[in-house]
Amino acid sequence: MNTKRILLSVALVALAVFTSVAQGRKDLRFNEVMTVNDSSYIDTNGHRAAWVEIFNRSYGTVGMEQMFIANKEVVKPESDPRKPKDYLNEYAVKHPDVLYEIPRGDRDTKVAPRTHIVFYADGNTAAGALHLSYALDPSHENTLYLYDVNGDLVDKVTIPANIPANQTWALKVDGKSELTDNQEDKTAWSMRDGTDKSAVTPGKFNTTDLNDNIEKFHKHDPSGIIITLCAVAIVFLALLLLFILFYIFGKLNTMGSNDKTEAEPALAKIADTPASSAGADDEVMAAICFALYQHLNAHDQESGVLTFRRDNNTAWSAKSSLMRALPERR
Amino acid sequence: MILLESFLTDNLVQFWNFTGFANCEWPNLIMICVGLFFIYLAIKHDFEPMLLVPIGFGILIGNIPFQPGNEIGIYEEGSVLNILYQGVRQGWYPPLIFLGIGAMTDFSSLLANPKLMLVGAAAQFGIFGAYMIALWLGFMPDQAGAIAIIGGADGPTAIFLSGKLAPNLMGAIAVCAYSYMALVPVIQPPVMRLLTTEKERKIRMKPARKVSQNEKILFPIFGLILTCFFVPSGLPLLGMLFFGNLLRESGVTTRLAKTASNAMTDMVTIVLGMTVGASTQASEFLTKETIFIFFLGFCAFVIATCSGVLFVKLFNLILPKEQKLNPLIGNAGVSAVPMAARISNDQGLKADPGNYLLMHAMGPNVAGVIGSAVAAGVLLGFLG
Repeated sequence: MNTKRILLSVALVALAVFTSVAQGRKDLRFNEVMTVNDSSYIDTNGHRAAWVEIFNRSYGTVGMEQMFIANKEVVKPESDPRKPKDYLNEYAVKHPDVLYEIPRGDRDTKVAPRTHIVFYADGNTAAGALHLSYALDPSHENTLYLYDVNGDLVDKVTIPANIPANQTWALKVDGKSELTDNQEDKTAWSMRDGTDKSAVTPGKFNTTDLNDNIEKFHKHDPSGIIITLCAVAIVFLALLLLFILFYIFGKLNTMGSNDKTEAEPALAKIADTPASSAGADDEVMAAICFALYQHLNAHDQESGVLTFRRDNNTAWSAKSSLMRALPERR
Repeated sequence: MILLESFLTDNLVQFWNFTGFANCEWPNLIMICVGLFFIYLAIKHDFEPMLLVPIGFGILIGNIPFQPGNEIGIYEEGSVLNILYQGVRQGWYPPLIFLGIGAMTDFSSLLANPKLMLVGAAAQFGIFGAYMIALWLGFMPDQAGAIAIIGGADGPTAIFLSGKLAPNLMGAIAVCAYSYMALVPVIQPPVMRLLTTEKERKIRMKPARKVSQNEKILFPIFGLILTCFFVPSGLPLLGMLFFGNLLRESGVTTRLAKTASNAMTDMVTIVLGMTVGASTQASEFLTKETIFIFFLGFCAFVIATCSGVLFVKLFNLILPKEQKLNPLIGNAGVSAVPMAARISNDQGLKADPGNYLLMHAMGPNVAGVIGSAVAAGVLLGFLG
């Protein structure tokens, strides 16, 4: 029985873990890209360059160390026995104009939950970990690829050619895009021209994703009284209906029972049952265990657990009555 | 020789930079002390050891300093801890725990005296009282709802709701809910004594009637239909709770009920407690919001206890003399099963050494489990 239980539990957990892997999505997303920057965002060295913003849409900090950003799809040949990660590592060293590996040990590459990180596409890696090893060509269509530390594709975006200076190609809602068969959803992206309604927002949210319900309650019920009254009424109503239903069931059960002893108090009946008899109810066992726990604080190795074993053996079979008890190792 | 020395030095420096000592900051040390304190409370004082030991150790795991990027941290995509944490993030563990709770809960005491369901409903005022205070303190409605559910005294429900409404506060809310559940024996008795007279504490309740097997089988079926038609958003919790109870009461799925209530619940409790503890990384846990959350959690527990006890006193005004309820069972309307019911029993025995209230208090206690799940569903319906 125990083996079956363990196998069933292991199967359930395995199912949950496999489901997690199957459903797993990397939580970093390309969020906004500017290809020509002559009067917009200035980097920490006081220079202007094209930039690529990535959004961490998870609720945990993500370290981007050893991830890869490429301006061309890098696919490991099937004949190459190495892991994709090792292939990308070598590729980044040989072709820095295509693939940039984010270096280790730089705190700037940690992305806090629900925040953005901005990389500068200026080909100047000496300026820091946030500077890509290549620049973008604004006169052509650019496609950017984000690979995780294992070399798996996380996200991809294609930026149209000839975007006017200081305008960006950005997600309509921060982080809201998914790859389907490694293809991006182009409808999730739009141009931002820098006007008030379509502002360029490096390092900030493109749009504020408001929950209408929350805004409504925040505005119309600032003290919470309305929601409290409604919610309490619903909770009471649900449990009141259950009460009425089971009150009626109880009455019907009591009336329908031919055996009068059924209607007598359960505790009185239980009390008449000898606890030591083989057929004693589990409730009696529980009551005895509880009394022992309450008054003597008796319990097994784990607190709150007191094992109570029924002894259905006779003097012929009971191990405790045997002459030769097994030696106990101390 | 010089080359070798330089090679060794470089590697030692690199190794040093990877160690916890080099990456340690004082918030990590504070959180490690909190974890050690939880383990101490569990082992030395027996405070909810099944929860506080995994959570306490999880806090230690989550606050060992390291250099990110090696897929070891709980927030690093693909790490083992992160995969286990998905059960909390995506809300798989709470319904599984509810399945176990359903399979191990005997609703007989509630069915024998169904009016105790209303006591379980009354104690949910704690949730909504805390909701109003949270709004007053400046939290947004969704955050206030997630924090207020602590008043339901139900860890899985708190994790489930906060995961949906305010995932960034989930670590603090979960630790707060479990901490206060462990502290129920400290928080509730003074409030109970304050609100009741000596005479009320000595009220002896009528022994419960015998509940038939048919009633026990019908309860999970009708319970699911009635509650979930009102609040479908509570389906993951209520569905699993009543399903577990049907496994138990049907009499033909004993093996499944045993697995759900023993092995499976234990396994989920281990990973749930550990990952919730590990999610309390200092950088995200040691904030002003956490202090507010602990304050609001305390308020929620006190309001829930008050409302449960006062509701019973109010109820007694309309009940016939022979059916009067002992107000000491009102505190059990919070769903800390069976801790709250034990406290009713202890306080009853202190007032009258022959007055055993345990089975009576189990009624509102299990009603509280249903009530808090319904309340969570209502909040999710309004604010989700």
